[in-house]
Amino acid sequence: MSLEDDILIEKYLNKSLSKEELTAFENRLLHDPSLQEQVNINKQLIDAINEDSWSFSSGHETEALKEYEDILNAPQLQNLKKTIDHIQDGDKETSKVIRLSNWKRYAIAASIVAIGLFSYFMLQAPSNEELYTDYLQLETLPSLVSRSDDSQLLAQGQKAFEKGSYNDAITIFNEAFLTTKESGVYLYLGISKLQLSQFDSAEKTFDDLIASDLIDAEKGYWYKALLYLKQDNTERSKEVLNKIISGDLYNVEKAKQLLKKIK
Amino acid sequence: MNDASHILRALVNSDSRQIAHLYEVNFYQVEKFILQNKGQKQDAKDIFQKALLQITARYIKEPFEITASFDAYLFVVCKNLWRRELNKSKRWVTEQEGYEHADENQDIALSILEQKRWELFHEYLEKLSENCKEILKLFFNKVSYKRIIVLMNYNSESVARQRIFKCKGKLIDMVQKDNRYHQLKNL
Repeated sequence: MSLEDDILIEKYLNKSLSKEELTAFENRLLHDPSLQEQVNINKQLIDAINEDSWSFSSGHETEALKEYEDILNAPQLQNLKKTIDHIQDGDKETSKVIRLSNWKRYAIAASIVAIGLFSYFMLQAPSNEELYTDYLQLETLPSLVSRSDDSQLLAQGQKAFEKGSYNDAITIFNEAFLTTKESGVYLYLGISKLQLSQFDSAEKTFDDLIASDLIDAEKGYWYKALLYLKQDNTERSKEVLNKIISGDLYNVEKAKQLLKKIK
Repeated sequence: MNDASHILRALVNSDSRQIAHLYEVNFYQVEKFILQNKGQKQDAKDIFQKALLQITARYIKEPFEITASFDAYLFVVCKNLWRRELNKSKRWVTEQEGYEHADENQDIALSILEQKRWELFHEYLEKLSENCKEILKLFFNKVSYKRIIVLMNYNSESVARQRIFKCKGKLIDMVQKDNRYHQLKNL
């Protein structure tokens, strides 16, 4: 294996070969089993070691697979499954009133538990993480497809973003930044980092947006509020939301709503 | 008898008292991880159960040793199963395979083989020098060359590339020489 081939494999796997290079490479792959093997193991390693992905099998029926299936279907493991189910169900029931023998007392106790559970669910506020997910609303992001000369690159970035390949999206948007400064790119870049919990870097991106002279600069505040929420930093999130409300900035109505829901 | 084989035996025998204890000790950590990573409590329960079924089925087929503590191993399996779950949806969009039709036990069986391959790769990754390990982890996690140069203190991209090429070559070489890989490479 030469370094040149290794670079080709890398580009092939991250889909950055040019059309001509791709055709030539695929042609070689057809006739070169050892190259195929190298591509195969490279892909498996990336998928297994990269923390955002997983190296799946392609579902070929093998003998080992069949053996495991048989073991899983046999009574012994079905029994284990029931045991675990039972333990997990027990996790839900917080009361131990079942032993009372008098049916009236039992009924009263049960209704108290029912009321208790009811108010418990009513009162339980959503966590900051849940609020973050609810309010992120990725569908409200502007589409980057077909705009400037860079539309090709931006479209690629958006595609990676929509697929949830945030690492790829970050690489692409960073590159796009060299030539385009539009608010959408800041947002996609910042949110990609946010989704990967790269908080400091995401914060910097949103700060840069806020400091820019773009029309949409104020959107940066909204995403900063969400950033602190995801970090479970309730105080700072509230601070930013209040700023949005007092300044009548982007998403002011949602900010009011969200502020009420935060504990 | 170490703690891991003790627990494995309890699983094989569906010993509800011991399993309840196992659940009490470990579930919270798994739940926390899954809630922090786009999941719900029910997901955590499903994953926890699948992990125990996976480990037990493996043990029944061929008793294996857990070198770390059982709890640590269980957590790794749960994390991987959740990673797998999160990546399933992406996979169906990009590659059309009959994956989603797999029934639950078939799916667990597949996850066992994938976990074995994952363990094999990590076993050999751990055998590399610290420097190789570090640079390969960056590389496989798709950190850009620009960033790798800074983090690893290299002079240029071509130096970094050479280094990655060498380390990756070593890793691949060791994996390919292992017989287990031949049963796992074409899953």
